[in-house]
Amino acid sequence: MTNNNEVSDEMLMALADGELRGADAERLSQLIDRDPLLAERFAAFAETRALLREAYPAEPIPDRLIQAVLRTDAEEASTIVPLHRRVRPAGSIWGMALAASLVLAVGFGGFLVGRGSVPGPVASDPIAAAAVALASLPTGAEVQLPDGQSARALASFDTELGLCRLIGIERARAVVCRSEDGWTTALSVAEGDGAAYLPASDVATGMIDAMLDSIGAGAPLAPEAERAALSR
Amino acid sequence: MIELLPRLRSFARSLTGVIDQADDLVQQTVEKGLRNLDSYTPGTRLDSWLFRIMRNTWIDTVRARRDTQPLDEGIGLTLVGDDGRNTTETRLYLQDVRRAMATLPEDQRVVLMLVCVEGMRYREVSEALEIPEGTVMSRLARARTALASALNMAPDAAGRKGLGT
Repeated sequence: MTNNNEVSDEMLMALADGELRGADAERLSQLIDRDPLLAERFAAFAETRALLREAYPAEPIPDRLIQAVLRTDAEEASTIVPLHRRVRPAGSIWGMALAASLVLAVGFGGFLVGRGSVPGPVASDPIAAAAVALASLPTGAEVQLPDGQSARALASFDTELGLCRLIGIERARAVVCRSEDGWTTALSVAEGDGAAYLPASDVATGMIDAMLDSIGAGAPLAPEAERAALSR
Repeated sequence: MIELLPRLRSFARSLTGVIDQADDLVQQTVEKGLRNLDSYTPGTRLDSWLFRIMRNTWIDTVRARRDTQPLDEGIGLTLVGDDGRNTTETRLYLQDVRRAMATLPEDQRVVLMLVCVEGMRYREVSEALEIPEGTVMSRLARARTALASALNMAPDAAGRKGLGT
């Protein structure tokens, strides 16, 4: 990579998209710093990304789409939605862990699991804040937290622990359950390495599924039932 | 599935170019998906599966009705944040961006939306669309280059004004 003309568009783009890491990224950044032409090519990739983000701002999901998911779901009495909840392991481990308000670090897949231990730039407990902010809002609703993250109610469940909700915030997902003292975080799964996206399938979902099953959660509550439960 | 809605919308927008139509497409996709959950294999990517349904649905729709409207109507007029960028000039410029997007081939628009707007990683896009990662990258690079030159920000364009920081 001594000749700057040999730096491909793909490499510059990968750097702009945060896909290039470590020594490679550093080396390329240095080349860019020294070569105005390279810097311009790089800028084109960085700027198109920024522009597109602005041109297609995240807008609230229209209610009808959320209703479409929930309505069909209620009709079919599906066991899958919103997470594919088919597995029903003998779940007492989760129940016990829950009772002990678990703090777990899991070494695979880069996820951290724990109570109130969201890694990353979040200082206070955003899950607790999200649970309270969403307390009277239906599934699909989104709120802005004080720290600027957005939180969304993904589903509500009737469980052995009472009303529990699945909440998604930018880098974490959590199950919170309502008790007399308010909302308690029963489980949080957060992305470990600071990247911007949590795969919807795999490990995190599996853990949340297992946890929900272990506390006897059925299909997500339909809008009517949810409204009633939340206002109780 | 609710969690996938934003991504499904992005994907739909990249197919249709128009937000109203995109939401219709998302709704059809979700309903079809939920009705056919039997054909979903647990443990595989739900987004890939839904993308596939969406694409097929869209192809059917296009076959039925040829013309797509241009990209402009009222999309994204609500800019996020009021840090002074919410100006008419910016709006017009962003409209240019969307217009330029509309001229790109569909497969390029899709990767652009998923990577640049949804913030998905190359690997995730490759899995979700079931194409090799190298293809994601080459499409994405081509799309970005085309977009940059359409917007006059390509390195060879004279008198280019830097945008943002």
